[in-house]
Amino acid sequence: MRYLLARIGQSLLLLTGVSLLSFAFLQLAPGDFFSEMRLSPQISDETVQGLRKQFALDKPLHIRYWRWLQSTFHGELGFSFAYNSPVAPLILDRAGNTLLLTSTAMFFAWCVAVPLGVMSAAAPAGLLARFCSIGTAAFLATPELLLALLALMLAVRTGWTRSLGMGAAVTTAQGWQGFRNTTTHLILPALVLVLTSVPVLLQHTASAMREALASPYIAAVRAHGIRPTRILFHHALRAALNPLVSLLGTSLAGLLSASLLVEVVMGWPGIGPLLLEAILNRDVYVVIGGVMLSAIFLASGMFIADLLLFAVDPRIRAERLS
Amino acid sequence: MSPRRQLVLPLVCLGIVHLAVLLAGFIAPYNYAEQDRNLPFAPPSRIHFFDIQGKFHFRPFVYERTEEEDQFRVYQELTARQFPLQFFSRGSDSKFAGTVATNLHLFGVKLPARISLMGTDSYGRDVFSRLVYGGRISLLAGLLATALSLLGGTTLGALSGFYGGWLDAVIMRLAELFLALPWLYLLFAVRAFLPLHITPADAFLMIIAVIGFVGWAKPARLVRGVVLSARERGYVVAGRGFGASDFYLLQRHIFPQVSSVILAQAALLIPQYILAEVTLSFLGLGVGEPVPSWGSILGSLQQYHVLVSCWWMFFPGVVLIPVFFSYSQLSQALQERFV
Amino acid sequence: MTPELLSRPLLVARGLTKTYVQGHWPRRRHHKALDGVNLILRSGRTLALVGASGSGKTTLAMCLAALERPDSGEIWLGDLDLASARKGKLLRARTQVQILFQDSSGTLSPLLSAAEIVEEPLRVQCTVPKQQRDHAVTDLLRQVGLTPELKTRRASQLSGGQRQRLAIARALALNPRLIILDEPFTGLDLSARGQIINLLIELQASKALSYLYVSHDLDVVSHFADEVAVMHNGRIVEWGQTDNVIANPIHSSTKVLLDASTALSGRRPSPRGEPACVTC
Repeated sequence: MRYLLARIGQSLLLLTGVSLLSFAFLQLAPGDFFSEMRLSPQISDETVQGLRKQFALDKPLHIRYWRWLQSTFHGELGFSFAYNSPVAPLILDRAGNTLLLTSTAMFFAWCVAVPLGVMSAAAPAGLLARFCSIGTAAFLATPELLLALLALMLAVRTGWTRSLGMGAAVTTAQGWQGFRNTTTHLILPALVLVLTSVPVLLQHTASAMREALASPYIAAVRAHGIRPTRILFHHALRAALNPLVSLLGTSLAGLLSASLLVEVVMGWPGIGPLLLEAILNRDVYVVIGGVMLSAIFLASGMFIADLLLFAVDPRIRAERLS
Repeated sequence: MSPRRQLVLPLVCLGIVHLAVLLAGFIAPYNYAEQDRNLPFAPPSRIHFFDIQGKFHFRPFVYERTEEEDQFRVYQELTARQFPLQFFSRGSDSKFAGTVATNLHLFGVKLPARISLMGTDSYGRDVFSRLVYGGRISLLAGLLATALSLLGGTTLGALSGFYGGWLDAVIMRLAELFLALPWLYLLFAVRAFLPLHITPADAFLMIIAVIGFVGWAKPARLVRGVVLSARERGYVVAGRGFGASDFYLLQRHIFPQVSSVILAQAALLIPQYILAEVTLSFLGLGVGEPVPSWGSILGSLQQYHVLVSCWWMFFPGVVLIPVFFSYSQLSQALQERFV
Repeated sequence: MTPELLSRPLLVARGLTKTYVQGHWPRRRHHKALDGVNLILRSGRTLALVGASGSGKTTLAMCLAALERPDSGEIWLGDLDLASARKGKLLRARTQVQILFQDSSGTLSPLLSAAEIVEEPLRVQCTVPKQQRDHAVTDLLRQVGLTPELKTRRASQLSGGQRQRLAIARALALNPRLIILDEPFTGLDLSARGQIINLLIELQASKALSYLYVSHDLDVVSHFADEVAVMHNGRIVEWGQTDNVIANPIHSSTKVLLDASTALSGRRPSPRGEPACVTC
């Protein structure tokens, strides 16, 4: 229990550090949201200054930081200049879309990668293992950007144009229509994400399983005459669980940030395009809000992984409790 | 495959790519900024061995192309005149390996015909030439940014591991912070928060600095681990016993162990950083016009009509595959050798 | 005059304490390695420091070699206090006190040749000019009984006994007056052990070296050391001439150590009147 509190404390410290670092960054950045406006001859300097004052952009950094903290505690997370609304609902809405995409992709990726990894480790010289290693090498060498573009092009060429997700990807349509609409838009980006994440997962699973299978513990189990499938899935997998859980933690941590490129390229209305736009426009509070959200996910992902490890591995349980 | 062979093959492949990119001025038939407003978005040139009468020519040739009447960006060949492919031809001015001025090119055709092995872009610039020149930016950015990252990371990691104490705590907390922020976002944010309208040369240096700066944390942690364990080795303690200074111990005894880790890290980081540069350029945050980068060529695919009908714009992305594959084979071979 | 009065104190340690802290808050563990240790080492003599594992022997050895600093106390080497000296002065002190570690193979760098290993102290301290270094290395190797053709071999290509000799050669490089030996015979077979002991005795005679010999093995101690100090739980509980201590042990831990040693239990004289452990 004390350990839990310590970890939570650590995470909070990390988040504070992240927010401070981001804010400090702003100080270095030349210009702000309204700088671009200044270039337009139609808008006078006074208007710009007035806008700046209105949004408290002329106040010193620590005051802005304090104001932002207050806004956060009110659940607002600052204000977006571009969208003229508080940051929190904006981000959370988009984040939901992103999570839909990434969690679907992650689920399928794990469903494919883990069994393939286990089986290819069980028969290292077999056809499946060979096929997996070639496929892994090929897909690892192919950048995500290229896959996304290719997928997009093929979809358009073959007439599946609805996958271009032109803002109608996640509609407010209810019920079956809404679900169907979302799914058809979801398939292609999710497929690209799966194709990029499966190779890494497969490699890790296969190597963890190979190590577990080579251990003397498994040899002893085999000598007992237990069925090979049971050995594989019951005994060896449990031994290999340790690194896999850490991997799960990393995957969870990246749920929000892993799909940035895919969202931007394939037009999925997630948090990626929003943040990119905000970065380019210097919509600072949106950026900070997004970064904080990512950091929260990262901290939680690691935390959950730790908890799972604790629950799953009796060795760690013993060590921590002593 | 013997371990030696494992190292040699990817090295050879990478060597060829880098050599080609270095000799861009020679290998590319045209300068990267050379426009031809008559041929925007033209598909790759067709190289013929047989002319329209069916006669075989030993030397391949191309035809001049013009836009078809009333048809936008559809091209037809003017079969009246043949333009044979010439090797070691004289063409536009360039610099051999960036130094000696020359106008000798590996291959080319006489004007007014143009040979575009990979088609042209919106300004009629030869994509193949831009690809070869663009490789300089993308590949070099990857290499330099890796050097920067490893330099910073190794120094900080070594200091952290060797001296321990509060220095170690501070550096490691900072590293955790940097690792906690999503890498891609950090990259964009840092790039975007710097001035957007600067010369290509400055932009190039800045991109390298940004990518290298963002990625110091992971090498630092690895190096710290190695230094920490090396520090406790018997011969290091013995060295202190006869009065060796910290610097001497680091340099003579600890560094050889670290160097193998650094090498393995480099093979992992370089493709990541190349990809970072490509991504930045793709989104318009890279080196500006008219200097090409593999990412900026791919960036034109963001337009619908280009994506749909100009398949030759994918070439820079395709070229990345063997490069990354070689690096991954290299990193595997290095891991097996040293780890 | 007795031999004790003739040999002057080389190193005097007073009131040494050292506590190790393990673990993080709130579960911190304090381990008292040294709890008020006083020691005197004389020129040309061998003092054995014995005790069970964990009694603080190695910690004391490291402090005396100026590789660790005690929490409190003084270590006087001539007019220099090693416990509180600054780095520059310590550097000069290192030419006078050298230490041979327990696992000698670990102390020899796998990347360097034998000659380079021995040359290293000379290079670091610049006591010998460059041109004469090669000659000095050959000379040192000869002193410990290693032939010059072994100069280019790496540590992994030498036998256990040869590695130990190499470590001794390196320790002699700076002409120290005191060599601290921390259980230097572990891992050596009996004949190699005997040869090394004889080598050490010869070197002591020819160079007027002092030894601090740290061990838990009283067999070798009885043959090798003039005085014995027994450590228990970070304190020195018994100290005196070797023969006296072995014949009349006072403290319980001394008795335990004596019982553990084969030849000395029962204090049976072995045939030929020599301790049975050494074969020359």
